[in-house]
Amino acid sequence: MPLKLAVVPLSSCDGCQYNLLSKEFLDFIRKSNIELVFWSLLGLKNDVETYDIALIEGSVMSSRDLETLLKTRIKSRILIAMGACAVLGGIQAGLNNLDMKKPEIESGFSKPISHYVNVDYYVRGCPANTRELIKLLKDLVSGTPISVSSRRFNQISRDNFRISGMLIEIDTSKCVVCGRCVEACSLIGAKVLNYVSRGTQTIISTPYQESLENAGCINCGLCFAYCPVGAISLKTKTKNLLDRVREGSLKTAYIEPEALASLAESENLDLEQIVSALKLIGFLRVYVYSNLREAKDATGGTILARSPVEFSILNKQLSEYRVHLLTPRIPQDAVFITQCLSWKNTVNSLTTRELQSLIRELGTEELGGEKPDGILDYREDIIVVNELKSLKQIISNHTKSAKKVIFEACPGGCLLGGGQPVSRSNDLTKVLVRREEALKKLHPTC
Amino acid sequence: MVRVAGESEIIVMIEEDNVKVEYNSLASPRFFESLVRGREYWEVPYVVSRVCGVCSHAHFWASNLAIELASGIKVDEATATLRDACNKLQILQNHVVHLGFLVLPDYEHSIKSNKYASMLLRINKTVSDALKLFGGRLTNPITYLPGGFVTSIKPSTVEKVLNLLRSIGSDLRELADMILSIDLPELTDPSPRYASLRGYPDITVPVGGPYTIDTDKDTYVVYDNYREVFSEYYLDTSTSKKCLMINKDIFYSGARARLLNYLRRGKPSISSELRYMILTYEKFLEENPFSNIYAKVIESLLIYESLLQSLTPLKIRELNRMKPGHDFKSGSGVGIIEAPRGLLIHYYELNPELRVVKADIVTPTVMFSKHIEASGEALVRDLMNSEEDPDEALIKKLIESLVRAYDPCIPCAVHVVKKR
Repeated sequence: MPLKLAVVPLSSCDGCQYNLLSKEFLDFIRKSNIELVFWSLLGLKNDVETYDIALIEGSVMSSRDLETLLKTRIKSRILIAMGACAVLGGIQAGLNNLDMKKPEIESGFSKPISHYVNVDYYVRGCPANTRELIKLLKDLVSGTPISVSSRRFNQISRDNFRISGMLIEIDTSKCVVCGRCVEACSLIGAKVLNYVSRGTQTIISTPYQESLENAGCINCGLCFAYCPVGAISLKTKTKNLLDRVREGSLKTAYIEPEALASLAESENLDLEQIVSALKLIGFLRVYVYSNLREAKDATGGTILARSPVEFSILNKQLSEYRVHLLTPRIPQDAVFITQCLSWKNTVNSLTTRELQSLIRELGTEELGGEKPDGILDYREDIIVVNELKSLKQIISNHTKSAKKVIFEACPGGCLLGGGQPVSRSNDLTKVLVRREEALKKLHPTC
Repeated sequence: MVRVAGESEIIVMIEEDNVKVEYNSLASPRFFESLVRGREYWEVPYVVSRVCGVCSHAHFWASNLAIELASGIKVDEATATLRDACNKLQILQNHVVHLGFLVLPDYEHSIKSNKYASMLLRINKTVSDALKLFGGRLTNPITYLPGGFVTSIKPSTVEKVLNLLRSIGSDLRELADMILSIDLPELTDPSPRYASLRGYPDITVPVGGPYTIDTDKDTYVVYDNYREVFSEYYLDTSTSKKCLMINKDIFYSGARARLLNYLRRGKPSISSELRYMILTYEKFLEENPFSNIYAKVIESLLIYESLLQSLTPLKIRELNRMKPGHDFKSGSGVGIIEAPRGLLIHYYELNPELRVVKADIVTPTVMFSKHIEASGEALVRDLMNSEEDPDEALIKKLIESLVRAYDPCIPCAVHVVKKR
């Protein structure tokens, strides 16, 4: 005996029924042990006493709908709610909350069918997923228990590609779609990276796979710092710079205190050890230098951007204020070792993360201790602000004071900047505390 | 009524010489015009595409067009061509399903072979696949919003669609031969008036209003004055409205109207074979309401050719340019397009917060439902005159196949009815 199947429409757009007119579904019905007995769209109105399976499309919006539904429930052994209208009430259920004059008809509300009758199975979607429905019917015909099958998904294949910018490159074949870069990118306000496509095809990309600069990248490097699998990599190589150091054309290293402190924290080294490591690399002199020093001459109440990242953010978001960029004033034969990726476009610079890998190559066992040749820092009369939200308020409070407002955009400040080394700990708050301690050791006023 | 999208009934009342036919919708109204009120502009297409699952692409495009025009936005030609292609694919798919599943069983006796079923399913599947590539889904598309496409349609996708289309060319011709071999019942159109958008489905793509609407006699330039040309009114017995043309004329729109206007007022750029085919059936198309079936199958061939013509020159450069990013403003806009069953009008008014304050949707089925009744009356009257005592079953059979020839779509047509 073939199973008798009925398709019964209530108030709906008929889209679910219409989707069933596919080759896939009709072939399935023809091949399996199912007989279509009632389907008014196809002109089937066989007068049978009972249905084995009834597919209900649409929600209940009138007494006529309710009558049809109740009759069908009595007649059918298994009742399946098909599509969003039957399962949830559908788009017309939006009316239930709408403050409008209810028209004088039988009923103005849309209810899911489970509000009135017992429903055996649900097939969701707008329109209902035909493949899911076929799977359900197959199981019902064969009598296998309905459960999660052992393997729910087929092998996923994705289109892989590379998105490149001036400094950073993204290789989607390595990406695990964890979304840390997306979060970092939106935290800093650039919103360049986002999820694209749905389901198993989801990738992380710029809009239309444009290059990073075209999409508005500000080269903060946070995505690079946060990526756990190395799908985001730096395009710049340290080799050229190192060759120039060994040749002798680059003699001095200017290392930022924040960079020094974080390196000390992540590699468990003393400050002096790092200085001697720099000398081993080939630098003749090592200065601890912060570009905050350039804030000395600035007038009170102005906003000072710590790096090009902050400069472009402030220009975009607080264009009504005058913003100064603290460009490091260092000699031409010097290398600026910094926590910020964005200086790479303007001065000879090395990020802390690059330095970290260089030091790991050197080996840390035999490092002695050397004092730096000088500390060029300035930390008086400055307020460091970390959040764009509070920046406006703080500027208005300090318009007449001598204090200078420094903006550091990276969450957690420069100690957790985009070019900072990978820490041994996963807990960023703990890392931040330890780095702050290291910084204080170096410079008690900080 | 069976084999019609949605629930409806046709009532024939015969009292001596008086014949009255009523075509009523029984489906419950779903209040879409109220539902979109207060919603933001970008939500509207997603909501109104669910007016009808059969022709959701048409509603989606019309609402997008109306909202863009309310803000004074005109999209570039590649975007418009792709949206138009979605609509044309939908028309093609609708025609095939209508002819194959809904109409053919009426004329089963005149079809010999059983191989057509698999052919129909094949065409349906191919066109549906093509529609999925452009629209994201067969029903309720997701790939574009007011302003432009939100998914990048690659040139390779266009190529895929073209290949899919090329694979069904011979099938479509075979379907046409089969449908055109059917002997249709004889009937003279009681009110031979029709309306359609100028030039459809030519390769020129409508980007925005005002729209030129051709009728059999006059041409109207229509924008927000569409109410002057098409007036709607309510009935107690039906949950759908009825619509009349200017001067209270009963009219029809759809494939038949489009074909007649295309030949007479458009600038046909079609193959001579197809032109000859249309010319052969022109007189029959004009006179017999049943001939909408012929019109549909001829139009399928026409759309097939027009799709190949309009999609082939789409360049890579043009496709990459499709990015949303327009300034939306308050205002009112009208989107008029040719849906599978005829003229579809969407009207929206946006307030400065870009929320909808007024919405109006006039659907094809509303437009021609009065014409169904008029033709039905003529059909019954003819039967009464030819035979003394016509068989009730015969009347029933003929009038049902007449309604089916129009291909009414009830989910679209349902409106709130004011009880008097």
